[in-house]
This record gives sequence, structure tokens and C-alpha cells, in this order.
Amino acid sequence: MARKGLLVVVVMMLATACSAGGQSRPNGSARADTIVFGKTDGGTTYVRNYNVVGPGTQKTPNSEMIYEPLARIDYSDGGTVKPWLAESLEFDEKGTRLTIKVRQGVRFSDGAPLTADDVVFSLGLPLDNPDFNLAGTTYKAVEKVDESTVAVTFDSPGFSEVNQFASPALPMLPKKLWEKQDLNTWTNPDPVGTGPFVLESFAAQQITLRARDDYWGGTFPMKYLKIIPTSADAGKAQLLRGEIDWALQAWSGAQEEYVAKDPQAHLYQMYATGGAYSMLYNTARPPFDDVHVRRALAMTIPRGDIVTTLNRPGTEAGPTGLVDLVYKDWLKPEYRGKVQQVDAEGAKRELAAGGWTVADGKLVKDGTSYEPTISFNQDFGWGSYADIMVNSWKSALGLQVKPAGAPGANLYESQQLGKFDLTIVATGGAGASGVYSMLAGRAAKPIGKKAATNLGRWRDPATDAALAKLLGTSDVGRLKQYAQEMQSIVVDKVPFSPIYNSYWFVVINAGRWTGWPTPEKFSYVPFPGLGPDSTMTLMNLKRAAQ
Amino acid sequence: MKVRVGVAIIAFFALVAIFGDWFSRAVLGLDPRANDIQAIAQPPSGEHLLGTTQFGQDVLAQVIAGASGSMFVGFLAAAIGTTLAVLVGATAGYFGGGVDGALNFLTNLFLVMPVLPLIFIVAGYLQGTGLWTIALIIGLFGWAGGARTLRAQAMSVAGRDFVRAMRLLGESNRRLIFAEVLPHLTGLIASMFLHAMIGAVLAEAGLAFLGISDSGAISWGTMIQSAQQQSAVLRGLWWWFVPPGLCIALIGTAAALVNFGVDEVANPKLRVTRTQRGRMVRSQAA
Amino acid sequence: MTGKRFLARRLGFYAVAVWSAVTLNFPIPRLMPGNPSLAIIEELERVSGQSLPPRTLESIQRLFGDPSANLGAQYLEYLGQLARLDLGVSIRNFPTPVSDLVWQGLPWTLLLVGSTTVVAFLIGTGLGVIAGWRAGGRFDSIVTPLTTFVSSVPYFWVALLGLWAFGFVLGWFPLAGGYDPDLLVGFNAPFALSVLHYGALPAATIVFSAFGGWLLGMRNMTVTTVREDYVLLALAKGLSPRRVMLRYAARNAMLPNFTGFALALGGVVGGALLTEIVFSYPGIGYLLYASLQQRDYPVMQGVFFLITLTVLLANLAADSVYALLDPRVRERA
Repeated sequence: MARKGLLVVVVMMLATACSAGGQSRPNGSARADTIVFGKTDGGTTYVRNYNVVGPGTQKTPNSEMIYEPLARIDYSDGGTVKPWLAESLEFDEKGTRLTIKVRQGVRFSDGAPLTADDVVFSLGLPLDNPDFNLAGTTYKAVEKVDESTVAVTFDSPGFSEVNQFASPALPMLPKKLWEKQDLNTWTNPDPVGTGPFVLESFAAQQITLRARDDYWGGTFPMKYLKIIPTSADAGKAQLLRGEIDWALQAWSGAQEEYVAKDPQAHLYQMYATGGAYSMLYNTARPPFDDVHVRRALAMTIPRGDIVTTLNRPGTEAGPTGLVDLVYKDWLKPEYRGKVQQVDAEGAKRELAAGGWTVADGKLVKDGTSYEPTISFNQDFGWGSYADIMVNSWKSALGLQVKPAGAPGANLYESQQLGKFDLTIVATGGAGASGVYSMLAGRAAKPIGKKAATNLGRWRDPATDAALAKLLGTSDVGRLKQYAQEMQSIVVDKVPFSPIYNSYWFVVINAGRWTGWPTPEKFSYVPFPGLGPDSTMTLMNLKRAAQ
Repeated sequence: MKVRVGVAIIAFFALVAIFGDWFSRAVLGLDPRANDIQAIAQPPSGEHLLGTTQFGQDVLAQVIAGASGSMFVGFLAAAIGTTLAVLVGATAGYFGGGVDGALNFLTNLFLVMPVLPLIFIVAGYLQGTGLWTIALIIGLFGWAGGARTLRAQAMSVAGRDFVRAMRLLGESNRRLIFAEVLPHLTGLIASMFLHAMIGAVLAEAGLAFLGISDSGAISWGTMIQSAQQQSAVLRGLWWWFVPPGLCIALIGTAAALVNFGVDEVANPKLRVTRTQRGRMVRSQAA
Repeated sequence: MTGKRFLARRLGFYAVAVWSAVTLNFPIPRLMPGNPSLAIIEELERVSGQSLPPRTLESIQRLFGDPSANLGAQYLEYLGQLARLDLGVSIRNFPTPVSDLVWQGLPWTLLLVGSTTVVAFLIGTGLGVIAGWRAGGRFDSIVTPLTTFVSSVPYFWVALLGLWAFGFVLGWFPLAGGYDPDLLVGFNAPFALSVLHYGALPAATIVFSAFGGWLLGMRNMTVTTVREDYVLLALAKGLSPRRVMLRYAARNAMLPNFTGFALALGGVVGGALLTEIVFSYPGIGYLLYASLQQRDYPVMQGVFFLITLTVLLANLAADSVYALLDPRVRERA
């Protein structure tokens, strides 16, 4: 007991010593001008690395407040591309030449204007340095047309690829500061960009950005944006206490644990990315080359149970791979709002139609039996959801599927090589063509050879025909028509089966700053990774009445 | 008394590890992997005695299944580690000379190597390959302390007159080691084994917490990790993370209790008075 | 054997040990599945929630893809780099040098784990002397079994409970980080107090889990020492028991514990892994954890190299001190 008492004393002593420290915190004025962003997935410290075209995943966060791209993707409008630093982006008839009008009156934070030369330099970087093509650019050449116009050329119609100009990894850089630097060693410690903020002070555990008063897009209600590192759990508590105004994290149970405690100020928002978590079949490997097997397995995925344990009721994915919330106008009427319930009888009929039986937990046809395995990323604890699917297949079909978790990088390698039966992937992309382009037959590789996309090795002439039409036009009416052709193919032939929709999760404490968009009514998503959207978010906030 | 309590606890968990799966399925009617979607993250109740996880899985069934996972790793890792310790330690101590020099160097190398980060790195690369691998790694990196102790003991036994005499009479070295030297060290080896086992159970839990585990298997470590991933601590789902942690602590205490007792028998210095209860100081043996 | 020759031999051993450790650390990343480019792709897809364009994949693989085939040349290059203390460039934070990351984390780890190692040692050893002096007495029979139990509880579990109770429920301590982000870094009172405030809870959990080992070791050494003739003699001469306990028994019983202490100091850099993860503390342990998750090989190798160096240096120091204190060691070696 004495030992315990002593410990208590030690703890108390430390506590008193510390509460003194807590009181000495400067509060009031500084905080009132500041919005605090809690970054939950960036570790405990930051490094000063504004080499924004480098491929590191943990560069200094929120650099998209300093550097801006030519365009943005509008997720409130079917994921279409809208101009940003460009005044316009226009294709010629064939779709092989894109003319970019550079916005006038844009200045870098050192006062220099953004010129066509800067744009040509920035767009040329990935051409000159293929190692730094993080944006995945596909154009072949860049040329300056006049002082405010730049043109890029493509080998084949680039209609569906204009979204690359909205990538935060393809920012507009000041040529005179970047052209002499070695991208392999330069960390760009003092960033100069066109964005609304400049770096005010950098410390390993806090980054302070200051709003520019000469930003081309307008003025901001706050003076500072502060970025602090936190963990997912700690971030929740800090949001509850109002120490953080804004964070990005999935919070199952947020309704009871957060929103209910102050419905006015505590906002938990989910914005559909337009993509989904899907089960992918290795269609180069039997028995998954048989559409009946694919349908039977897809029909018995307990999507409702999975979203229930995720605490996200109503987010089951529809059958097309296009998410209602983003592609409402693009979906065939019969697929709108469609929820796929477990249909054991239907699945059994499918197996029978294909000539399959299940014996001893194995799939049997013509004397050959198969024991499927489902692989998934164990780093996010996906195993529990795989278990739910495995249990369902067992009870509905008597089929024993083996769960096989693997860490992300290993899983990804086996997916690229086609060494899997069933696997879980994120499907999605910018626009319908972005979602479906992964089914292109020419991207399919034999098992054992690395494939960049089309991990499921899908080869289907009807798909390729529909895709070619979808990629060859920029006319919205025709795009919708071809996208619907693709929907029918996906629903009928099931090259993959969506499970639940993916979201950007935004947690907000609006005690200090109000005027946030909501998933019900938004024209920009308050998600920093989307670049200009966070600029629009911050610009339209208002100081809360105290 | 201490030994009895300790042995009883360990025996209990061993029984759970071996028969628990049958018991929870046949008697309790529970499946550690079954999802009761109607009962998600529920506190203990009549239907789920220890409550349920975020995935509607029964915590009691998971603790029982976790016992076999954790004990399996503990047992296998301890077996590997102890075998290596005996092989290296006893051989070095018995033969002396150049053999000793080489083996002792190896032992010292593993002693000074930062083992936890090393295990962490190796296991990290291998992750996803099952409890076997985890046990193997823990065993392979955790034998040096035991080998050092055994070397010293083997040295002193090998130096005794009767062993020397038998050696002179032409008795084979192998027979001498197995029939004369090792039997003198059984108490020590048994206590080392227990230590290694609890060490391995703790190590498995620690690695699982760091995300290095077999996601297909259930152990106490993976339970705590899963709870942590779902913010069980912050959300106050104590019934999810307290039972596995307590089980680990109980096994550890039991192993320590047994060692107390063993030491009293093995080390006369700690037994000077009847009232004194002590534990052999490991460094003494070195 | 003279002291000098003894030291020379030990130095030789540690040189070989350093070489073995860094060599062991060379093939591991190269033999295992999954390479850094895949980890980067995976992470980028997870963050964006969408699959990456094929050109992005190509460019990442070109930069970090399969290392060239000639292992021998790579190995020599690797040894050369380490010898120059050039730890390479981080992949996660490309192109930041690894040494920048290491220097950023090192002070925090040294501060937190270093100070708690000292505190745990002092508390544990002190209580151990008291328990061992009156072995079987009331203090001993309560504290010793209790300590045994505490030492058996998994550390991270204690840390989690501590964070939950004192951080979330009572709100006495901050939940993450090394200091109050509203303060400016520097040698000033508010900052120092804030560092104390943020470090208190992680420190307390480390002390709680670590002092038990010292206590049990010290207690047992004291139990054996107490029976030694010189202690009995001192008591018989009529010296006060308190004086005998501290001046005679404890001093001699300390010796093995003290070498253990030197080793523990060496383990400081590597020992902080779990603490720093639970408390999101900005030290070297968290760096290792994060770099492993992202397959950031240069950082992993750099941190491991640093950990190995400190452990071996501490061992060397312990050996030397021991040899100075105890002549028998020199002769045996």
C-alpha cells in the first residue's frame, strides 16, 4: 500500500507542477484570429519539406494552401473539372489539344505575377523529370501560345484526362525559384506560391500559416491557420474540448459521442468521394472467370451488416460502382438508390445455373474443387469485415472462404501480380470514365506480371467498346449515355462488386468559426486534400458570435 | 503455497487453451468469430457474459479463443528459446576453450543487440504470416540471457570431480552432457522456460499492439489491438480490452509465483530463515 | 591481464558487435516482400480514397522501385555511408535527410525515457533495500507480490488505461504531443512547464511499469547481502541498523543493479517505442514505428543504427565501470 501511496504522491506532485504550466498558456487574442486544424494521420512531428512535386507521403501538410493547381474537381457536380488558376481549359474537336487561358492578376506571395512562362515550366516539370510525375500527367508536350495562353497536346483524345490539371501534385510554381533546383535534394524550406496563405512559422509540432491580404481570390476572416499533429483518439477529445476546430477522421459513433453533445457546434460530416470499397474477382483464375460464381458471391455479401458495424447506416454501395450521392444524374433509373440485400436463394440458383455445387465448404464443378481466399489490408483492421462476409457465405451457400489479411504493401504487390482469388480494393476516380477505366482490356496483364490497373484481369469486348466511346467525347449528354452502358455491363457481368461507399470524413467544432458547408448543401468540400476546396471553405467562414 | 497457486493458474489457462474452443462451442454455444449484428459493442449481459465487440463478437468466446492463441505463441517461443539456450549455453559451458569462446561471443552479441527494435523490424517485414512466425521470431531473438546463465552453471557442473573422472574414463561427451550435466540443471531450465513463456506472451501482445500480428488468428494481443483500433478505450468499452489484459497479467504473476517457489528450493542462500521468501537473483548464476 | 588489455579486448568485441548489427540490418529489408514504392502507392490511394493514375504509379516505381541487383556494391556503399554518418534520404519525407528526422526526435526521447529510467531506478532500488532488509516483514510481504503483479501487466495496457483515466476522464493531462502548440519553442519558463505537463503522464506510466524490476532485483541482492559476515559484524558492533542498511548492505548489493542501470540507460533510445505510440510523443520510437509502417527503409536503418550504437556504448561503459570496481571481472576475462 505504501508503494501505491507514494505513486499517488508523485503523480499529484507532477500534476500540480503541470497545472501551473497549463495556466501560463497565452489565451485570448491570438486564438481568436486563428483556426486550428488537427492532423490525425501525419505522425507526431512534421518536417519542413515543401518540395510539393516529390513523391513523399509525409511532406509538410496543407501545402495546398500555399500552392495551387490550374483546376479543381467539383464533387457537388458529378466530379466535373472546373477552372481555378486557369480562366478556361478547352479542348479542340479531336480532344488532342487543350488550350489553357492563364488567370490574370494572380500574384505569387513574393509579389511576382503568375505568367504563361511559369505555367509552361510547371506543366513541363513532369515531362522533363518523369520521376516526379506524381500527378500522373498523360500529355505529351507543352507550349506557350502567348503571354496569357498555354497549350498542351495529347497523343489520343484526352477528354477524360483533364482532371490531372486539378491534382494538388501539379501545382503552378514560380519558374525563377524552381528552375535551378535539384528536386532530388531540395526541400524548398521557404515556399512561395500563389495560394492564399504563406508560411508564418514552422516548428516540428506546429505549423502556422498566415493569410495573405493580396490573394487573387479575396480575403479571409481569420489571420492564421495553425496545423497541429494529433492522434485519432486524442483528436476526438481535442475536438470535444474545442482545442481543435477542424479535423479529418472517420469516427464511428460520432452521433452519440460527439454531435449529440452540442448539435449546434459539433458537426460530423461525410462527403461521398464517388468511389467505393469493392470486392474484386481475379477473373483470370477459375472459378472466378464464371459469371455465375461472381454473381452468387456478390449476392451474398452482407452489405447491411458491414455498414452497421461501421456505424454508417445507409451507406451500402449500389451495384454499379458509381455512387448515388455524386452520380445521381448519371445513374440508370433502376440503379438509383438500389440496395443489394443478401439473397441466398438467388445465389444458389446462380450456382446451379453455372453447374456448381458446394461440398465440404468447397466449390465443385466437373470434379474440380476450389477453396477461395479473400485477401484484404490488415492495417486498418479490415479483418473483422472480412469475417462478416466469410460468415455470410458460409451460412448462405455453405461455402468456406479463407480470410487472408496482409499488410498494405504486401497486399498491393499480390494484387498487382494477380496472385489472389478475391480481394478488397478502393474503386473510384474522377468522373464515370475514371471509375470504369480500370476495366480496360489493354491494361490486363497475365498472372505473375505486374499490372498498374485492371488488377482483376478483366477482358471483355463489350466493356472495351463501351469504354472507348466513354473516353472519346466531352459531350455530357453522350458521356451519360455511355456511362449507362457501362453500368449495365458491370451490374450484369460483375467484374467487381461494390460493398460500401467511401467518404471524406470531416469533423468540425464550429464554436469559433461558422458557415461550414454541409453534405446536404455544398458547392465545395471542406477537405484540404482537394486543394482549392479548402480555400473556398476558409474564405466563406464567419467568426462565431461569442 | 505460492507454487501451488501459480501452478493452478497456469494449469487453468493451459486447460482453457486446449479445451476452450470445444468448451465455448459445445457448452456455451459461442463462436468467437460470429457476428451478432443486433448486439454491437454491448456491455456484459445475460446473453453475452462479457459483452460484445464493435463487430458483435462475443468477448468471452474471444478471450477463450485468445488463450489458445497467446499460450501457443508463449509455449512455442519458449520451447525454441529454451532449446537454443540449452544447446548454446550447456555446450559452451561443458566444452570450454575455443568452442566456448565462439559460442560465448554469439551469446554476448545477442545480449547486447537491441532486441525489441530488431524483432519489431523483422516481424514487420514478415507480418501477415501467422502466429507460428511470430513465435519463431520471439524464440530466435530471446535465448541469449538463458544461455549465459546455463553456461555458467554447466561450467561449474562440468568442473566437478565426478564429471571429470568419468571423462577421463572415456565416457562420451554426448552421454555426459545429457545424462550428467543437464539433469543437474533441470530446475533452472524449467524456471527459464516459464520466464520465457510469459516473456513471449507479453512480447506477442506488444507486437500485436504495434500492428504486427496475424489478423486471421485470435490472441489476447490481437484482441487488445482490435479494441484499440476501434477506440475502445476512449469510448469506455472496458469489457473489450480489460479481460485480455488481465489474463496476461494473471499468467505473468503465476509464472513469477512459481519461480519464487522454485528459487527457494534451488538457492540455499535465499532460504536462510524459514520466514524469508526470496527469489534467486539471476545475476548470481552468471 | 591488465586493465588496458581488458579494455582493448572489450573494444574489439563491441566493434565486431556494431559491425554484426549493421550487417544484419542490411539484408532484412532487401529480402522481404513489399517495397517502398508499393507502400507509397498504397498510402496515396488510401488518403485520396481513389486509385492512382497509371503514370503516377510508374513515376513512383521509377524513383523507389526495385533496388539494383548488385548487392555487394550496395553493401559497401551502405557501410561507407554509415561510416560517414550519412543516413541517406527519407522516402516518406522525400527528399529530407534521415539525420534531420533523427535529430528532431532524439532530444524528446532522451528527455522522457532518460529521466524516467533514472527515477524508476531510484524508486525501485530504494524500496528494494527496505523490502530486502526486512525480508518477510509486513512491507515486504505486501509490496513484493504486488510489484510482481504490476511487472506482469503489459506496459501498453497500463499506458492506455492511464491515458484514458487521467487524460480523457479526469482531463488532468494532455492527450498527445510534447508541448503546448500555442507556445513558442525556447528556453523559457512557460515552455519548460509545458514540456513537463505533457511529459508527466507518459513518464508516470513508464516509472509505474519499470520500477518493479529494480525493486525485485535489489530486494534479492539485499536479502543475500544481509547474511554476509561483515553486515552481521557491523550490527554486532552496535551500529544503528539504519546506518548498516544504507552504508553496508545497500552499497554492496547495489553493484549488479548498477550495471543493470547502465544497460537500461543504453536501452533508452529503443525502449520508448510503446510509450511514444500511445501518447503520440514526438520521439525516436514513434519515428521507427511510422517508418516501419511506410516501409521507409533509410529511416528504419538510421534509427536502428542509432539504437545499436547507444546500447553498445552503454554496455561498454558498464563493462569498464564494472572492471574498475571489481578486479575479479578482469581476471576472468
